Amino acid sequence: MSLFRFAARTSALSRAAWSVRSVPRAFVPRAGYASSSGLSKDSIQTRIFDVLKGYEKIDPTKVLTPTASFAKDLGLDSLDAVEVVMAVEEEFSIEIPDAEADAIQSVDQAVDYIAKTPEAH
Amino acid sequence: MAPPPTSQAIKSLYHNMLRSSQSFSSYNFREYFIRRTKDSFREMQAESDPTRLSTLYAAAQRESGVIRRSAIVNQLYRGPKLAVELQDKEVEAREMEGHALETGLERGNN
Repeated sequence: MSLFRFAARTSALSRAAWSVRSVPRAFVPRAGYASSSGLSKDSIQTRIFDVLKGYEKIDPTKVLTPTASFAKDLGLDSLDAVEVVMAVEEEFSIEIPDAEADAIQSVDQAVDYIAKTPEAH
Repeated sequence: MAPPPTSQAIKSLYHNMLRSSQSFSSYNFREYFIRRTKDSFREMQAESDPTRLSTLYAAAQRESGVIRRSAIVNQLYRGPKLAVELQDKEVEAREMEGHALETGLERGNN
């Protein structure tokens, strides 16, 4: 008998513990699986411009255009272009595969790549 | 003799080496290997002799593996950040901490 009483008591205790634990927490909004990356082209472009302005070989006072080519307009060689692409990777915390990193030769190509990459944020 | 590397291969090696150099956790090693990688690839860019170029490329490939492995070891034994690499936010946090400590001391004295 005493054993049953004990069992009842422990179960009551544990139920109390459960009820404390099940207090509803504040709802944490999370990105839905079906939503897009949520970056607008404008914000991507301004962030890429900031990255370019921070790069040592580009004059920060120079006016950047959305269609500027790394080689022709910004005067970067192929190794500089690799460094710029790396800086962009870091800014959006993604890793661009080599084949696609090679194809990025201008600002608008970089913007397009980020826009179609869902992991970018 | 190995054929001279394509520019695509050089660029992808450069990318990989810079990436592994950046993954060092200690500031001095990180900055040194980034600088060194950049210098060695600039040298490769200025080279016109194809046999010399493939020698440089092979050396860079070997070095890439060394850097990758030592970066991993360096990450295992990471220490606290140096004062030079603290971000503004962290500096502010430190100052706040110091301030709290000081006021706490004053309160203790009074």
